[in-house]
Amino acid sequence: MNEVSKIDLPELTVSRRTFVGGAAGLTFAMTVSGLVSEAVAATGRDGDNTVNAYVTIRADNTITIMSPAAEMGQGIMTCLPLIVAEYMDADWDKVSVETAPANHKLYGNPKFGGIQYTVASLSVMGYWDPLRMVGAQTRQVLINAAAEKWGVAASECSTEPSRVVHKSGKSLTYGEIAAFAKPPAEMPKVDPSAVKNESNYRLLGKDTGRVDVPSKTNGSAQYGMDVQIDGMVYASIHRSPVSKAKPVSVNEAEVMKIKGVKRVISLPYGVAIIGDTVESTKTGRAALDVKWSEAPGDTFTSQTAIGDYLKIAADPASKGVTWKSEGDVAAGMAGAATVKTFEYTSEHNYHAQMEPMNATARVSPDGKSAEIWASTQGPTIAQLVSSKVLKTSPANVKVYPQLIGGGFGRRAQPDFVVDAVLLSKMMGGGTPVKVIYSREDDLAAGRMRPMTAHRIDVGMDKDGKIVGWKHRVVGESAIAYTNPDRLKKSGGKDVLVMAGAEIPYYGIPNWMADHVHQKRGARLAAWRGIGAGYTKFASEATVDKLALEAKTDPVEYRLGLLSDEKAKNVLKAVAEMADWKRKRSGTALGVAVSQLHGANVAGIAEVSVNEDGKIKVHNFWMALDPGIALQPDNIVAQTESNIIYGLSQTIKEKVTLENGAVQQSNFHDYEVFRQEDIPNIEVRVMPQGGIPRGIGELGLPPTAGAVANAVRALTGADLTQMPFTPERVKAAMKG
Amino acid sequence: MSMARPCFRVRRLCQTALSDVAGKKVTTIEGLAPNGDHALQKAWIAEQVPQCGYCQSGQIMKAAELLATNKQPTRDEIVQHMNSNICRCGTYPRIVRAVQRAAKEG
Repeated sequence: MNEVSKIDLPELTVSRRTFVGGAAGLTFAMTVSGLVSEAVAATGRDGDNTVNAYVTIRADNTITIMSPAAEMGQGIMTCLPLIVAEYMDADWDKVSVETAPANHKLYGNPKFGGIQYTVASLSVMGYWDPLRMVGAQTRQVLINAAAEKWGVAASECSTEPSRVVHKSGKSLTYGEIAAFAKPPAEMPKVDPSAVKNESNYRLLGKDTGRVDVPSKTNGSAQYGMDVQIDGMVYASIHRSPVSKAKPVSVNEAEVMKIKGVKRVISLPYGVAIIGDTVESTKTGRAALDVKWSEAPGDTFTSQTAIGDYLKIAADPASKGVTWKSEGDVAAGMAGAATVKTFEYTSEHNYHAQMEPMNATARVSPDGKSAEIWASTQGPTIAQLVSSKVLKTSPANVKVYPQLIGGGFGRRAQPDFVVDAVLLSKMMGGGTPVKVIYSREDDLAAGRMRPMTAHRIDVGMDKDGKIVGWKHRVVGESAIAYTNPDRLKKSGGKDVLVMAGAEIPYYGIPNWMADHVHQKRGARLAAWRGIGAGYTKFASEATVDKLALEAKTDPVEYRLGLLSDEKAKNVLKAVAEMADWKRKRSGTALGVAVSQLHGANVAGIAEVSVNEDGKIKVHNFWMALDPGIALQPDNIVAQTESNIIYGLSQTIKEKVTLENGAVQQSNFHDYEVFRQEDIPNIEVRVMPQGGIPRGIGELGLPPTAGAVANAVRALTGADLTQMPFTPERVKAAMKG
Repeated sequence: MSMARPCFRVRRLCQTALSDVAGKKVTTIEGLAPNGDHALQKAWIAEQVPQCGYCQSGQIMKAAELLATNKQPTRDEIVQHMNSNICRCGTYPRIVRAVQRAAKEG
């Protein structure tokens, strides 16, 4: 039941939303594809003012802009409405932002199958074209309405913030226009680039400040955890320690004696305690004694399996699914004078999001409709999956997305929403249920980034020129766990595991990356940066060792390899920031580069290592190219965040499984970076044109490679196993 | 600078049962300043500290505890004092800057 394997997208009936407040006003309904009349019809427009929409303009000049993506700290609920505001020329001070409800037809991301799914750093890239169109069309409608009122040609009018101005000097505010204008049956066709280019932006490219920040300094921000519904009961869930095990016996009678415990419910994947209070569910949870069925993952012990993975990687008989390739690797390798082989490993990682996983659902007494309040990265996925649980139409499931207290991929999974829906249905009578995972329960059934082993073969000609590069990754498929049908459709290509194993920016004529799938039984999901968190470690550590072999400076060596000018520019920039050539005493520098969705990034770490093998990162410099910098300071903030998240996974974080069960239980044994671990961080945002690109994960992949390369430069130790714990560093220094 | 509580001790809400503070006077982020305009809150906005924001109420209260007893903390004192509070988004550098700003401007 928890493995909701099939997510298809039946047509959704667009729900109607009523805007309260000013009676006179304009609301524009626009689909992201620009099929305006269809959207207007679909919303069953009621009068002139009340339709489902991106933009609402009221007679008092206030403007509401819908944010279609989920805010989890990345600043998207500022950035996307800001694009609309820029192209409609709105006065940002009069704009308020509202999070869009689950409605994929109106608010879906065209770059992610048209669903509302805030993942993969694709929100800005996905919504860039449609939201510029929404803004430009809205502006044109306002111009046309004012021109008609004045009896002048629309071409004689332009706009100032929230105002249409005629060449004679007369003007009307957007609010004044909204008071008399009617939304047109069809939106005018506009070319956004004809309306505005970067040089005349008033909002984009400036630092407006994020709209959600004030609420996050005074306690008023509302997360899923804050949701309170009348008559609500609470639930805790003891999921099976090993994935896919089922409860076979439960000490229900004993747990039912605990004050406040209302029900003990066995689910296909765990046991839930329903109680009047959080405390009663916690007490009940602690008293639970469950026997579990056998499961395929019972024998998965990660510390021994990783050795198997390396053997499998080295075995020529292992069959891999090609992820990406260029040229002819077999021919390249056949013609190589020498072939060098490099091996690396990474372990399971836990998201460790701060807001405990939670969701609240109220299923109607007939079990055929539901309301859901959740901090979710995928509102329409939550809607569709819940409709499957209830065997009802998605239209009968309303999802109210809340602010997200940390996503990182964890809240892209709908499992916690399914819990709430299932339990509310089982409680019956329309009882709202709020499910809260304790930290221990969350980690014990964590949805990990898969453990991986890497083998990179590099073929070189007699002059040391790379003529073949083969990167093999061995590990479980995350998509096989989250969505087997999607994996089937892709022919086994798993982006969550393999991302970053491609190296198109290096001018290597023949390269390929493949994935040898494993089936071991861990619970898996996307994790910030997905595969690139470890694949770029493997490739950048390898490139550094090749530079060492060639007795060439690592920055110079990369500049010699890179075929992409934009990539070269960020590398040169970061080298300059770090004063790369300057010799340090007691510390050393290491460099790494990466690319995501066509955006380039380069990072340099400065490290020292103490006698216990503990790495200290003193400085981290990063230069990155977001194409167009829509919110420069937010790009810096996201990059600081990526560096810290990345360094934490590089140096500290690992989950180990023993006989299928997670061995860590909380932050004392799943350690993450704290204030004292943080290096001085300097970020240079250097947009080099094109389209704005995602920055929510861009800075993470270079971190591990940069640290490994710095430690090698300092000590000669070759770090090949993530994370670089003191024991491993010490062993590598001796090695 | 004026602090809401000249002398108080921070308890982490996520690790404290309500019964543990029975009979005690409790100030949460909502009570730090009447209009949310405590020097720390203003500094938090100026430095655009929060990302997901979930830990930030705790971070601000923890910083208030520091400034209540040490009006001009050094960078190291800020780091050590704030080390107990995890921020998974990694807003740590901005937290330090915001505390420094509040100490200066508060």
